[in-house]
Amino acid sequence: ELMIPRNYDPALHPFEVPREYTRALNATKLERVFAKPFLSSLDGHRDGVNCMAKHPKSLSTVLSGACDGEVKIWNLTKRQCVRTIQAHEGFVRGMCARFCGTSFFTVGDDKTVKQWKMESPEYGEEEEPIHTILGKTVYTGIDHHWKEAVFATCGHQVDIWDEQRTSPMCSLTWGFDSISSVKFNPIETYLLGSCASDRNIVLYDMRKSTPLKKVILNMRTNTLCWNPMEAFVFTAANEDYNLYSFDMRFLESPMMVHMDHVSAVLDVDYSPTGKEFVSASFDKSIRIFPVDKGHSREVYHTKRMQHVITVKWTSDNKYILCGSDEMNIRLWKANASEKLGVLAPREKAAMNYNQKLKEKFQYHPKIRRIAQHRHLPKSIFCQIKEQRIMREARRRKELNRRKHSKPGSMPFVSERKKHIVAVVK
Amino acid sequence: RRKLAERTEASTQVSEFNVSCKGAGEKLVLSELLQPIRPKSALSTVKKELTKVKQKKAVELPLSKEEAERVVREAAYVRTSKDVGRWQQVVLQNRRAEQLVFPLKQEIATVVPLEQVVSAWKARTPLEQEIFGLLHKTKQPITDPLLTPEETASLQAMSLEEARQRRAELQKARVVQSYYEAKARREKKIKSKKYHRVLKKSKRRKALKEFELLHKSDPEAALAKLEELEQLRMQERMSLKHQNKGKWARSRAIMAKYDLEARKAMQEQLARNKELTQKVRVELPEEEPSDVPEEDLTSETVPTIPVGASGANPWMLGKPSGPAEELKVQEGLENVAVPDAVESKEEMEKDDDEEDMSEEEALLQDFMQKRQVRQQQARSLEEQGGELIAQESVCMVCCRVGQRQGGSWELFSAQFHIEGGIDQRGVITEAFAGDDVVADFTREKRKAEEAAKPQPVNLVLPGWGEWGGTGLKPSARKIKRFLLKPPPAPPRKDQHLPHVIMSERRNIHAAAHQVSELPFPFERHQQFEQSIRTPVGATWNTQRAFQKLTTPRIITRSGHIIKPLSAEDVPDMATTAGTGAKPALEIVPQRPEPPLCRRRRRAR
Repeated sequence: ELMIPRNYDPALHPFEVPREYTRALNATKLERVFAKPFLSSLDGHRDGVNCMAKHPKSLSTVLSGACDGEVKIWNLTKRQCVRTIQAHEGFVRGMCARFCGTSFFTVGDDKTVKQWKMESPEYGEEEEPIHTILGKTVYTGIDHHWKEAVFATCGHQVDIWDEQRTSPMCSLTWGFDSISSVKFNPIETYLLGSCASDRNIVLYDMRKSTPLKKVILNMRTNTLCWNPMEAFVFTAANEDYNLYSFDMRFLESPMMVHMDHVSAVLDVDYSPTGKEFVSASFDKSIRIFPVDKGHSREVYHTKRMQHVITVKWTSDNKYILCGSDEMNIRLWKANASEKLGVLAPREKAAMNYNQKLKEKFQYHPKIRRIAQHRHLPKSIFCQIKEQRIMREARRRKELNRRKHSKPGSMPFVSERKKHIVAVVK
Repeated sequence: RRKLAERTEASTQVSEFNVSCKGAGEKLVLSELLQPIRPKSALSTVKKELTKVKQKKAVELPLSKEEAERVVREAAYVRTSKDVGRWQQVVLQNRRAEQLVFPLKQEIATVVPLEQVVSAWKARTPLEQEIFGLLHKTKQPITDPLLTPEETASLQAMSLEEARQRRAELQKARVVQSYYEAKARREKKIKSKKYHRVLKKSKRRKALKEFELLHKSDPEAALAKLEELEQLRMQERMSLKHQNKGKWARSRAIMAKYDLEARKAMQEQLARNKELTQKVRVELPEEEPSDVPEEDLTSETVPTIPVGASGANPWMLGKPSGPAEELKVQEGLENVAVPDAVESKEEMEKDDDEEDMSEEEALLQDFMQKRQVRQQQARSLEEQGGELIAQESVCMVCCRVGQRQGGSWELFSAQFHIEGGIDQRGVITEAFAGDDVVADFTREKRKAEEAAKPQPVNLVLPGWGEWGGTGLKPSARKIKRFLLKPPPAPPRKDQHLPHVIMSERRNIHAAAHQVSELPFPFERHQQFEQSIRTPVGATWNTQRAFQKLTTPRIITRSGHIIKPLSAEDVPDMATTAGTGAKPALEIVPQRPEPPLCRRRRRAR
């Protein structure tokens, strides 16, 4: 390749800011033009998809459980179902894969915990679980330890099981309520977080087999997810349309309140880089939030997608899977305008440059307007408007109240503290 | 075995086997039992113990179950948050990192050498066998010809960062070595005898000094060195050097008749010979034999700027210290040259001083004058009993108070203290007697009007259609033709408002594209403007800089699973995690960082 020596004298290349501004504007427009995040939909379930699990060792495998008790294993490269199991009677409430990827666990409405082999049975063999544990109560969630042969289920209490035994190693309780989800911390693996329907989030320590602390929010938390890169951070998906990121050590107020959904948030999953997370909502959309921002950077929806119940971010940080009420699993790009496949070096350089320009000029009003514009279905659009009006009215009312009451009698409460009812030691 | 019958009836009498009271309902008291024990009986120890028992209070009630659980929970929470807090540094580091590459644990792809793959191969021919024998002897690796076992071990032991550091060190050492080699070569080439003589002398002196130092600090080592020197001297004596037998010496001998120089050299050598061949009783030899292997030049100190060198002689700056002779010459030169410079410098300084002085004096005089004026005015005010100034001007003064420097404030307060008797307005007028606010304002406004007027565009190019060159001005006709007068500006909005200046510089068309408020991470608008002003494109930057400027913050590799953070990924965490129970690195949990962005940004 011929290298032409280049003169970088700034006098020869004038107007750097306006030229870069134009480039940034074009890049932003192109990003919107190429933003086609939807890749495919995996159909085959005969009822709403209730839960999903990632394969810890294989990027192309994903597991899903439906409301009719059916579990399907999918091959993402072929976008096909490779195996179907009638695992439970009634809902499959939760599922998780073992850390080594050789087997997976499901819990269902039939009060059982079942362990299945990841490989499909040989010809002539019957589809049967390796182990079945019959419990006394319904289990609503399950999660596997990240390093040891231990798993945790939740229902009326959090049970911690050894894989080899049919009775739990220990049961952790704090009050009596139905616990909807339990999650192991991926870094400090002895830590557990759970959320119950009496609006609380409880943390447990497996080593001491004791609960640690309980935080009660205004409304019920549906699930929580630990940040895979920051040991003490978790995000809770709440019924009040918000998500709350907590620092485990300071539960008095969340680190960040993530707002944008217009209906209950049903599921949340962190990107493996720990910089963003994706949330699924009852408002038929999924949103991607940066961890340190209060508002989403992206919203995905399709006409046919109904209430999204479960969502997963794949472990190569590239794709997002969501399972919804209308029996489909949808595959999305995590970065809507990203070009898939191998890029030529020049393409890559251009992409990086465009990205940098977009970042550099992101605060300019014209560019921001384009970058933030998203088409939304009418229902969500109207709801956002309505909620804005409601919020404004509430704010006005509070202002008036404050104006007409004794000074100091109505203290200002920050948005972050507003949603916390109490922290119980 | 016979079973002992249990005795159930109460005994009425006191026996030595059991204790009972006389009455049925009476209670036995401990003190009654203790009484009969006499102070010095054998039972005194028992008595002591019994009194101790009497003093003890009742044990407290155990905590209720809820409270006990709560205590356990609190303790566990403190412990767990401490454990989790170990990650604080790592997390902060990752949050602030310029670039993060995922997966964090990069597995280095190693190429398996061919020899390992084809392990069945054996040396058969004699040549091959011979070669292999040699290789075995020297412990060269055979299956893996790239690295010896030591090398592989060192590679495994060394991290990339360490290796880099080491390489840099080696490079530096090599550079220094080559530099000194070059220097030595250069110095060796110098033909000047004088230079070498001086060098030798200085070396000798240095050696002597060192020896003395050694003698003081470590007499034994000094003794050893002395012996060594003696040895050398003896060797010298035995050799035929300095014996007038060399080629050079013979030629000198012939030349000595005619040449004074040669004679001198011969004499010198003879003297030296004598000196060397003398049997020495003195402990300290006068000098090192010249044949002592020359001191390694690398051990010499890096040349410094000679003391005599100063700004007056630019050639002396940063030059290695030459031989002393040169130094002397230069010193001489300097002595000639310097006084002039010094004088001129001094003169300059004097001038400066004078100027400074004059300026300061002028300022002081100004102040004095002003003060006098003010005092006079104050006196007149006192006399007149306070004079009022127009209302608006006072207002203006009030407005402008903030803009004034501290001096006026001080003046104000000082005068206020002195003359507390005068009323407020009088004080204010007095304080700002010197400045005429209204006039200032009108001047300012006129200036703004002038600045806002459209300027004529100068398109005059010298040399077109007439003679050009330095010092030539374009003709008046040309200037008249090419100095374009702009159309007059529309009337100002503050035309009829005498007390107002309205700036019309803001362009609403441009404002639509401009950022109205400072974005969050920036603290000053200059920072933000700077960030916008520096271009990142390849048009303005070299390829390398462009790549560096545009690297993405997070790099992921397609098809690679990113595992959650673990202690093995973080070098300083691995050690603490290994010890298990107590982390060496204990970080007091702090409040979480404030949220990074407060902007309202919404993806609608």
